[in-house]
Amino acid sequence: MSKPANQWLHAHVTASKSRWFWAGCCIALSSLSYVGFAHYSSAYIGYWLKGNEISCWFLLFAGAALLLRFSFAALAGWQADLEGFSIIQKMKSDAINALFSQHHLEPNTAANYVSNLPDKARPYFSQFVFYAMASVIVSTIMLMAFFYTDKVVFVMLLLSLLLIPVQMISVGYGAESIHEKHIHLFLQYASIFQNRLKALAGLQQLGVVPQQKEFLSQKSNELNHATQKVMKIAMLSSSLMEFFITFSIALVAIYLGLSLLGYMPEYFGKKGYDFQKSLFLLMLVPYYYFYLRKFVSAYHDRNRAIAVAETLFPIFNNAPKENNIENNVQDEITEGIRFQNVSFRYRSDGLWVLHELNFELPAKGLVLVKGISGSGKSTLLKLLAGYLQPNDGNICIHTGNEQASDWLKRHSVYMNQFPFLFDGTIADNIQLATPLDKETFQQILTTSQLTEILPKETSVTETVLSHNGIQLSGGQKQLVSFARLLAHLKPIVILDEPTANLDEETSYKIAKQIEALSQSHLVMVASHDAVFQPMALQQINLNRGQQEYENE
Amino acid sequence: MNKFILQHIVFPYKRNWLVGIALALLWAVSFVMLPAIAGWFLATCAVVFITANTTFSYIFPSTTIRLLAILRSGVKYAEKTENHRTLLQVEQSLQLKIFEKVSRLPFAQKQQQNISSIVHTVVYGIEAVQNYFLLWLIPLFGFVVAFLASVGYLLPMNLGLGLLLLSGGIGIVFLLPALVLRNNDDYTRKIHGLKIKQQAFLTQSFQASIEIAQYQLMDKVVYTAHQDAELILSFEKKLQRQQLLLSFCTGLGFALLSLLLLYFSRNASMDVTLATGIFLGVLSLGELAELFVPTKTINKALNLNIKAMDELLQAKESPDTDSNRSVPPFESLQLQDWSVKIPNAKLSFPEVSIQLKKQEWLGVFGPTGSGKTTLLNSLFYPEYRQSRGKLLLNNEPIEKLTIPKAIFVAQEAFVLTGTLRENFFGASDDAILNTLQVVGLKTWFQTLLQGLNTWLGEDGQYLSGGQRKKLLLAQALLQSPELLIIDEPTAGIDLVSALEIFNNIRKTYPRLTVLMVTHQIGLKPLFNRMYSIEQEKF
Repeated sequence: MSKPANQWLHAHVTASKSRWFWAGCCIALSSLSYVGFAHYSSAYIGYWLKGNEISCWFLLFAGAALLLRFSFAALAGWQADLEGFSIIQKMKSDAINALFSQHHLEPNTAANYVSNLPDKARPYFSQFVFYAMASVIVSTIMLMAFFYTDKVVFVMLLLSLLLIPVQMISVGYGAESIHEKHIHLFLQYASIFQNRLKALAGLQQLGVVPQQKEFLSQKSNELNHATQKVMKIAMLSSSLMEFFITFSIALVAIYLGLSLLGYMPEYFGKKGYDFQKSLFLLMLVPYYYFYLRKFVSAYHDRNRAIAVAETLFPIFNNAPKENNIENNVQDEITEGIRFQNVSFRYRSDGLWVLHELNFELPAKGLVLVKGISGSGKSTLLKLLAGYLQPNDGNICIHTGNEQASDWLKRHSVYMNQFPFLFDGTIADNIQLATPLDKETFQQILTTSQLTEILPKETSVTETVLSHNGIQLSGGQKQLVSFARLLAHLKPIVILDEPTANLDEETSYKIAKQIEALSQSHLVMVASHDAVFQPMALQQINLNRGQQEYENE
Repeated sequence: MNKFILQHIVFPYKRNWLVGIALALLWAVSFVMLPAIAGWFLATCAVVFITANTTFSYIFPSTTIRLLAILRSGVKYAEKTENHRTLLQVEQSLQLKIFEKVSRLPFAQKQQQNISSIVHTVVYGIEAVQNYFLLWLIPLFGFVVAFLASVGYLLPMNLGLGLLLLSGGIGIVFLLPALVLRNNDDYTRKIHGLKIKQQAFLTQSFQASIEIAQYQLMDKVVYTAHQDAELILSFEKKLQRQQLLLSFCTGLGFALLSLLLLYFSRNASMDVTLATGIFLGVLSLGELAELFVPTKTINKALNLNIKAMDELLQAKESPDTDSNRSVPPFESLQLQDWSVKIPNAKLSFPEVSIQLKKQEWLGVFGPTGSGKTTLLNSLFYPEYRQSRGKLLLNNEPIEKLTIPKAIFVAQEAFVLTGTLRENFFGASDDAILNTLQVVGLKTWFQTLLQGLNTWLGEDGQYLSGGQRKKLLLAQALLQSPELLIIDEPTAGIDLVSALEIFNNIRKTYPRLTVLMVTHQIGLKPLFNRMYSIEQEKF
């Protein structure tokens, strides 16, 4: 277990102290009320047994004490629940903010990090922490009552308390790593299952559905195995505790019975031990363990929360530091963007995708990025758009501002090779948050060839897209994304395979528009399409000495 | 209990459930008996002392108390482990059933299925089933038996007291929750819907994280996400409040019931020793009830989730998905006056007539949006074709092509989350390596430090467009099809490598027949024959 993750979890607990304080007060009052209940009801039975005159007030007092006991307990529980909710809510909103600045995360996993993972830590706050506090308060008050009533019972129960640390250590040992492994497997399985469902149509076209079903069942077996391990530890620990508790209740009962019978030696209990007192003690003993028991069975909640923290904490650590953009930066200068020994890889144990790149870009004009598939064209463009940052080397901008990614983000517009279309109309997808006037909008539709390509009956303002624009063909999606880019132009225009799914005629028209853009903008294009070759002012070749697939 | 639970959860694991429930009953009974006997024992001891009774032996009751203590904790462990194991088996079988079911849905529906909602259904449905069994149903069984035993013990002794316990218990455990949980259905349904929406929204947003940052949509997205979360929270709080209220009422109810019983048993001049036992017994019945009655709050979610799973499992399947039918070796394929459509769309496409012979490579060309992809879909999925026109295989009319004799490499290249080897699950390492060589991925493969164990990322996000295409092609070739149908093979691959790859394929699989749809004129040298679709202008 890494310390920072644990501290992070702990910091959440101690963030708000007042709610915990009130919860503690309620618990103390609740347990005092229970003592009252035990007192009056045992008095009632004791009087009855001895044949004394009984007052019905005893029962009424007992009833009133019960009402207080449950009311205060409910109040305390509600405080703890509220605290748990607000901690989780804060965790979630922190996670949303942190995750959006990390563009290499897997989308499904990221969504799970926000929507489901923090919920798994909630029992830790609203139960584990609460029960821990409650068991300290309640057992202290009960021990005081035992001390006052019967020293032997007091010693017996104090000793049984010592078993708990032993138990905790045995559960804690090894359980955390098992939990972590379990959470890891769980997340992996969830993402694999979702991915296979999404790919089902494709899997079927390849005829490999049975194999993949077999694969899923293997993975699920693995996960179940881990789950069972986790459950076994949790159950074993709570059963062990249960055993100690039940057994000490039984021992106290037998001790009290034998004292009543007069079988206990003189220094333990004298002959003719008071029945009322012993019944009072017998009623208190289970309550002494009441929160302790809940605390122990919630112990695995702590392990789960730590595993959650271990998973979540790194994203807060990796989040890029907020960079205050200096306003005096000369905004419009795109001249002289320079790559100095830039290297990049996606995972620290992975392959270098880009290796020691050195070049300088012009202020405007078309720059063509070439290379075989997998040579890092898309990665280079994402670096230029500011969404990825070099692991090594620098991207230098003429302004002298070394932290370039924020500047690049603000001054570039980027067209993804796999464009994403939001749920909404085509027009919404093009205009996004800033509506355009009618004329400009029509102009963009024409420039992007959408008027030409979309069937006549498809209205851009009425056709509603969903599921990443499944209603459109690959080429149409690309054109919508191109139109979107035209509606939000910036000094640097970055295009990843802008013509990949288009026919030759449309490709040519789009390429002409791109060429026109390059008169006034710096246009970066990654493409295999030969149509860009004559338009390029500069070319960047990413092939490393392996030119056999190279076009002339 | 509804049919779904019986059919999918209870019956297949009858024996496991019987053992689990028997253990639960044993536990509940010993849970109530222990304090009852202890109380009775104390009172008896006192009475024995007062009356100076010499015949009473403490050995038997005190041994019983100790045995019950051991039983109570031992049985608990066995019961929990047993029932958990059963539920994990249930979980696995349900997941696989749903996976198989979705694979049988018609193609167009599968394309439009909301995957996040299916995943949500599976994950939360199964969690709801688990909670329902572990937190509600099994403890309920235990409680009912312990409760009925207590009532059965009390009734013959004193009718009034027995009836008081019976009616009080039923009121607290069954009537009270109905009263407290009036709006529960509503809250549960809202949370369910909101969570599906939230998950879909977040996944979409993270998929589009670059677009979102690019076009300054971040604030809007974060705002929406927070709003959703707040809304879910407000309903979760209401549920939690109901749960606390139930726990309060149950605990208080049984405790007051025990006091009432104490009062009336004295009036009914019952033995004080018995009355003490009953008093403590009913108190612990209350403790037992407090364990499971409050969980009723979350168990309403079960119905929603089960309904969703049931609907999914009952959904209409595509008419014929049997791929094991024996198909004669491929000789020729003919499309006569073939016309296609997109299901639920009003577009229409021109008729085509195409002929394809064994070992022939045919290229179909056409501009963007001319229905090329739809044409290929129609060969496999009847919902994409108009009623007229004929499809002939070896001159025999057929409904559709059969996988895996004919394999369709679609335009959208999917990559499976997992390692390189897991993408080819079921194939031998040698076969995988050979195929990678054919599709021109050998050089790339040699740079991988972990070889076939290399993790390719979620949906293969560490791969470029061209690599994805090539991997998909390799997947298809590994199934050794007779007819390979390819949609736009060159997106993301430059022309020269594309030509090289396909020439490689032709060399390695000389018996293969290929039908390819493309707009890339440069691929012409690959084909024996070509066909061109003209776009119908509207």
